[in-house]
Amino acid sequence: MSGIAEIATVMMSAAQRRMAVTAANLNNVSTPSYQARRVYSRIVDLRTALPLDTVAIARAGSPAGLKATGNALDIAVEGGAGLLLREGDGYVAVNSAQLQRNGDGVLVDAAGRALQAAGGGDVAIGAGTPAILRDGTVLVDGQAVTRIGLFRTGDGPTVGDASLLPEPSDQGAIIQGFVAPSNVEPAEEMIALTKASRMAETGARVFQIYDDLLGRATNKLGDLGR
Amino acid sequence: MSGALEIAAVGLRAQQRALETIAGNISNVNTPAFKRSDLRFSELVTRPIGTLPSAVPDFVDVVGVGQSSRPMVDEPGKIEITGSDRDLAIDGSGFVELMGPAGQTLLWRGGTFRVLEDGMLATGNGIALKAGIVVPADAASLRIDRDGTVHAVGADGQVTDIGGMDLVKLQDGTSLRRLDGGVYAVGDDADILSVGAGEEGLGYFVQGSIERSNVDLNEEMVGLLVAQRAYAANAQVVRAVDEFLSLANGLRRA
Repeated sequence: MSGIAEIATVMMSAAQRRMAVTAANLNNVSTPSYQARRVYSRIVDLRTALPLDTVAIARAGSPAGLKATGNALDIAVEGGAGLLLREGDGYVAVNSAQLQRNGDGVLVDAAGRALQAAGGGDVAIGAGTPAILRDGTVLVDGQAVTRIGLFRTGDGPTVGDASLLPEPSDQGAIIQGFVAPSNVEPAEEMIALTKASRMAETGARVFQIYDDLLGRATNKLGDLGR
Repeated sequence: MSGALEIAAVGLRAQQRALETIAGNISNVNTPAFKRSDLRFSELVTRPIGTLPSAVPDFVDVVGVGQSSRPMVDEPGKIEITGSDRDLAIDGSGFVELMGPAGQTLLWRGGTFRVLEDGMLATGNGIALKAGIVVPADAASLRIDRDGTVHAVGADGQVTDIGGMDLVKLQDGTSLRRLDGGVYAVGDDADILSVGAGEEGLGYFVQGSIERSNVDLNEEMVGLLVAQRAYAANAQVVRAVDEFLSLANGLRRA
């Protein structure tokens, strides 16, 4: 008919999408290296009434300041490089990781993703307390065992094919005993949430007005036919 | 119905478990040899199955948060002198191996020990040491050397060597499971290396002392505040989605 109902639908489903992204951000307020996502509006397809919004990283780059934890296996990257974690067949780039050894002495994060060494491959350090130097060299009992890779990963998390290792980076340094906290700002998320709520209300109002109009038109037509 | 609602529920659950972990740490601040649990959060991401084109951040879609915790056994607590000869601390990162009731291997970080009715040396809650040290009935007191050698001192002052304890280390620190009374269970696949005290940085036995917990109250309090606020923020999302759904239901008027 006129597309007003479709516009209302678009507004309400876009609001719902925004709420989901805000929910995901607030979930990860304590997740190291997490970068807040934001929904960016694009064109609205009126034929399908689906919003063509995209979700992207709100503020790329590492958040201000690192947090000291004192754990020997917490590492953060300072400067413009990233660490790679292998997840199945793909890679995920992060700028900080809280690691632990798995049964084979390989360093993995809480989700079981294996840290990648310089030149590729998992980082196996075996037993013993490691000392991690700024260039990524891992010393166990004073012996250099392996070297954690620093890669040019660009902004934000990238997921890549395992056969394509990103280029190594000579920028940045690995800091042991620190994590990069997430850059989720609770205030910003609450504002985003309120905006989404209002957007939904506006959509609902648009639909109600349209409904009123239709009702009135039907009444008028009924009167005419009498 | 709504992805936001489910994601917020995942967040509420994760923060609640974080609060439980923190509560466990705080309540054990005065438990000897207690090792605090460390919280780990990681994002849950969905992505299409199959090979992915590289470097497109668009399809990274976060659907929640994962939370896990594990005992930080490598972090030493402060060794405090108690003067009681039934207290034992380990000044280092090693464990004492115990023989569980069903024959399984358990690990102990020291604490107060006692002698069972059959003379076996055991932990405070009655789990015998794997070394199987039997204390003679006429022993007046026990003396434990730094290297784990146990001597029984008779009423007449005669000292007898009745056995020795080893320290063990774990090749894999992740498979520890906490049990009651400062005892840890290890998974079947755990790689345990038995070495003498003092070797490979495992430390020494210190009799008459107790290891305090490694809980830092300041840190726990800050963690408590963060978890509480994060919980409240997720609850706000639930409310917003609820209002949204009620709005959607109100769209159709009679």
